[in-house]
Formats: sequence, C-alpha cells, structure tokens
Amino acid sequence: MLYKLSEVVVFAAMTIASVALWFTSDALPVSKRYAQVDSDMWPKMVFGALGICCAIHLAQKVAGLIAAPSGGPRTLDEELEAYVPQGYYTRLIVTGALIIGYFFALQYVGFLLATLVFLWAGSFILPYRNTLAKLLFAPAFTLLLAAFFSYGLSLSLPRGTGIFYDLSQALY
Amino acid sequence: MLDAFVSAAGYMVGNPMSFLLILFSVIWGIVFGAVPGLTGIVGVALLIPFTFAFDPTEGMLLLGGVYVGSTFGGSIAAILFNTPGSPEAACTSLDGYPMAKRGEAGKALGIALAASAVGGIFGTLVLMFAAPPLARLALEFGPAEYFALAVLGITAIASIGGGSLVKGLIAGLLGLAVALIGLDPLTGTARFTFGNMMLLTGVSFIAAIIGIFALAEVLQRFADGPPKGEQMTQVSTQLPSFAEFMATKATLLRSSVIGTIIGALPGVGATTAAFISYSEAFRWSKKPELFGKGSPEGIAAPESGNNSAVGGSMIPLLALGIPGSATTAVMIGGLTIHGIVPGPMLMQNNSDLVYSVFIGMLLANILMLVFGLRAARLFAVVLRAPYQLVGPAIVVLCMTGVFALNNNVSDVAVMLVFGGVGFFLKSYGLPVASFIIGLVLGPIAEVSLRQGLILADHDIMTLVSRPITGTLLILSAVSLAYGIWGQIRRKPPSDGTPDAQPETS
Repeated sequence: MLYKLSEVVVFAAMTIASVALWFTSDALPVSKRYAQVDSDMWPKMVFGALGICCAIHLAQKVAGLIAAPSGGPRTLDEELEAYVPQGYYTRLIVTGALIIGYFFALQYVGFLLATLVFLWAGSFILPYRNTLAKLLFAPAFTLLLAAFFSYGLSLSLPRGTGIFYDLSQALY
Repeated sequence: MLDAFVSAAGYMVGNPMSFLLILFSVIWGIVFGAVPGLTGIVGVALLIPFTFAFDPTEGMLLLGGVYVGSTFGGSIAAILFNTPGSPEAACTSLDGYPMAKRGEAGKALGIALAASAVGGIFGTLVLMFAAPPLARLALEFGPAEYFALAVLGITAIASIGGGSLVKGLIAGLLGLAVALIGLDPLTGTARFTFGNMMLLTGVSFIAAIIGIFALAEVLQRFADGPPKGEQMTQVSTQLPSFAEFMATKATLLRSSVIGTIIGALPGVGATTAAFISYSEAFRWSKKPELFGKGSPEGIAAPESGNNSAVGGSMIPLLALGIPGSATTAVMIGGLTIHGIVPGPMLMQNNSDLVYSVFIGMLLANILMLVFGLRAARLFAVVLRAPYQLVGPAIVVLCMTGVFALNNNVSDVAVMLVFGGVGFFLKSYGLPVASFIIGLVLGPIAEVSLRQGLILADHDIMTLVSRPITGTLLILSAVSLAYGIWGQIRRKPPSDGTPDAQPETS
C-alpha cells in the first residue's frame, strides 16, 4: 500500500514537473533566424509527451488504488511488492551518505586518504567475518589503483587541498 | 585490389613484429575497455606517441588493435559488475548482468565474446570489400536520414517496458529530457541548466551510464543486505555451443549489418549501433519477454552491433578521411603525425597500409577470441571476493575513472546524481534500457529533425519523402506496430499487478 501511495506521489510530481518544464521551454529566448525550429520545439514535444504519459500512469494508479479492496488478503505479487528487507532504509542512507562523503573527501583530503577510509568504512556496512581481509584490502587496493593511474597511465588523481595537497604531491 | 591484398599479406607474414603489436594492442584495449571510465579513446590516445617509434603501418595496427580490444573489453565489467567499462557496453549490462546473477557469468561472457568476434570480423570484411560504395552511401545520409535512423531506435522505447507500455515511454522520454540539458546545438541557447555553468556542455554520457548502472547497483545491493545465495558461481568463460550459437544467428547477422552501416555514418558510433541493434533484436525476437532478464540475444545483439561498428567506422576514415567515431577521430591524429592524409586517395596511394590495417583488424578479432577468454577469466576471479569488499571498490574505481576522464570533479558529481536516477528508475520499475536509448538518440533526433526541416523549407512532407528517410520511417512504423502487436499478444498484466519489476536487478 505504501509503495503504491509513493508511486502516486512520484508520478503526480513528475506530471507537475513536466508541465512546469513545458512552460520553461516556452519561455526560452526566441531566435528569429530559427523561427519555426527554435530551441523550444523539441523540448516542448518531449515534455508534452512526458506530461501526458505521466498523467495516464497516474490516473491508472489512482484508479487501481480506489478499486483495490482495503483490508482483504494480498496476492503473492502484492506481498513481493510490499517486501522490504529489515534495515533496508538504514543501509541505503548509510551507503548513500558514505558515497557522498567520499566525493567531498576526495576534493579536500585527496585520493589516498579518502579512499583508504572509504574502503574501510564501506566494508563494515554489511556483515563479513574476515576482519583481516577488511583491514588489508583497503590499503592494498588504494595503493594499487594510485600506482596504476599515476605511474602506469600518468593520469592525475584528486590531490586534496592545503596540507593534504602537499602530502599527495610528495606521494604521487 | 587482389594485388594490394597479397602485398599487404606478404608484409604481415614477413614482419613478425606486426603480430606482436596486434597482440599487445588487443590486450591493452581489453584492459582499457574493462576499466570503467577509461574507454578505448583514452587507450588509443595514450598509445599515439608510441607510434612514432614504428612505421605508419605498424602504428595503425597498434591503434586498430586497441580499438577492437576495447570495444569487447567494456562488456567484461558490464556483465560481471553491472558496470559498463565503456559507453558502447552499456547495453550489454541489461542482459549480461542478470544472466551473470543467475550463475551463468561464464556463459554470458562467452556469448559476448563470440558475438564480438562475429561482429568484428563481419565489419572488417565489409570494410575490406565494400569500403568505397559504403562510404558513398554514408555521404547520402543527410539530416533527414539521421532523423529517421534515430526514430527507428526511439520507437523501441515503448516496447522495452517489460510489460508496461506507458512506463517504457516515460523512461524513454525521461532520457530524451535529460539529453536536452546544455547548449542548444543550433542557436546556442542554454537550456535547463538553471544557471549552472557546468551543465552548459550537457550531461557527460560516460558519467551518466556509470552512475545509472554501477552506482545504482552498489546502492541496491548494500540496501538489500547480506547476499543470500545469489553468488556468481559459474564464472569460467565458455564459448556458446554450436546449437546456442546458431540460435542467435539471425540476431548476429542483423546486428552486424546494423552496426556496420551505423558505424560507417560519421559522428554516430558504436554506442548508437549497440542500442539500435538491441532494440531491433528485442522487436524481432521470438522470446522478447526474456529481454532484461538474461536473454542470450540481448547480449549477442549489442556486442555484435558495437564490434561491427568498429569496422564500419573505419570506412569513412580510410575512404573519405572523415572520422566515423570519437576513437577514429583520435586515430586520424595517429595517421597525420606520420604524414599520411586519410581520404579518397589513401586507398590508391597507400594501398599496402590500408590492406595491412584490414588484415590486422581481422587478426585482432581472432586474437580477441583467445585473449578475451583469458582476460574475462582473470576479471572473473574478482567475483570470488565478497561483495562487502568489492562493492566499495567498484565505487572507488568508478569515481577514479570518471574523474580521470576529463580531470573534472563535476563529472563525478554527474555520476553521483545519475546513481540516484538509476536507483529511482529501478525502484519504480521504469526500464533503464528505454532511458538510455532516449539519452543516446535524443540529441541526434533533435538536431537532425531541426536541420532537416530547415533544409526542407519547413515542409515535413519533403523531409519524409526522401528515399532513405521514407524507407527507414516505414521500417520504424512496421517494427513499432510489430512490437505493440507482440505486447498485446503477450497480454501484459492489467494495472494493479506489479509492473514495477526492475529489469536489471
């Protein structure tokens, strides 16, 4: 039920966004030279069609919700649809936050340190008994990748800022 | 032609160094293709300075081998980790990864390898025997024809919905919408950048596909929790049996022809070839319901399509001096630094070089069969490692590869955003394939439609009545009708039942 409701909300938002972007296209600067094939031609076609499709899907979903018997036994498909593993959202948020944190750390701390910490932290999100492998894999993979990109391919890696930049300069 | 061929064959036989160069370049290409973000273009570009040390023929053999190897290499990471190593392998993920998750990673790799070799050899043979007429045909393609070609690909987005026509359309239109971001190619007006300067150049395609496939997959698998019995156990690469191979013969032939023709068109390339081949394979398949769930045809079509496009893209390069793809554009640099100007006179003045390249590419495809098997086995060893370690490593590899591509952090940000987009698409059952087809073909369709209308004096009938355009549009209509009829015949589930099944999970 919650999934179906979220689907209704998402497709309603997409319908509204499509209409808004259609009007954004309409407000694009006009070029006299390309009067009949201006910048807004294709975007209007795309967002117009998208708005219509989203509205149709939304109507189908709303109709499905209204028609669905409440409180009755659920079908196997509905059970599967509703199934969410325990801790799903926690792990999703932690993984997402870790990836975003790594993205920022790359810019400020540089590749070596950010990658090392990210790999260590990432390996602890899901249970895995071999702690030694967790501890050893991170530095080994980081060094191997840094060597491959910096020395093997002569491609630059993020070096961070300030003291981290100096450290990176000294190392690779 | 025969004299030139015999002379080139004599050169190859009398010059063992050329075999070593082809061998090295194929392995180099496979590695560059397999590492996400590096791509064949980087592999070719990095080797160009080294071609100074060799004669022009050896230099071209080196670059051609990398091109062949990298086009296949991308499929290794696509199949094993749902992380396309190169853009042209994005389509291979759609069926390769589900097959690998089923415990048939080795079979998926084998199909990809065999299809790549078939497509590559087909493209090279066409290049060898039909380069001049095909180059002339490519020149017949104007904006109207490009538009019709894009329409042919786009019409597939409705059919690849995995049961829901509307969801297929929504995903495809979302892809077309994302492709709008950036400067308008005709007027130079900034569209949907919302004041962000970094978006003026549009969305980096490589960053987008790596985000959609790899990052979304890592997020999904970590959120799902500890893996329960879906380890990829069978990772020893095996070529398909004769019966399995013959079962995909129509797909292989169709995709190879499509790939060669699309490859020969300047500025289109192997990625488009792979997606159009996939769309057509889906449309004409007897088992379209298996697509997105690990269909052998879904692997064979894009792989033969993109590898035949390699030979195809060499046609305008060698016969006209026009690069057919980004990689061949880099290869022009490799030719000109040796004082060779590609163009109509090249085949007359440097026939030895041209035919040596043909033979070299043929050999590269055969060597790819041998070394592709070994390379895939090597990569497959990683699958034995626990996902708790591999998952974060994939994130690092993707971020590093995308950053190294342009030395640009904004590309990494794009990748992160598209990781979220991929997760969203999967969560709401919107087909990733349709989204990517929209993203790839959107810019081609828009620009060629507008240019075509300008040339046709804004008369749509003039635009569609050109022979090639008309034929392609009729083909689009027929195949669209066939696809819709197929969906009706399969009786899709009525609304209310879950059509929200992720196709690539």
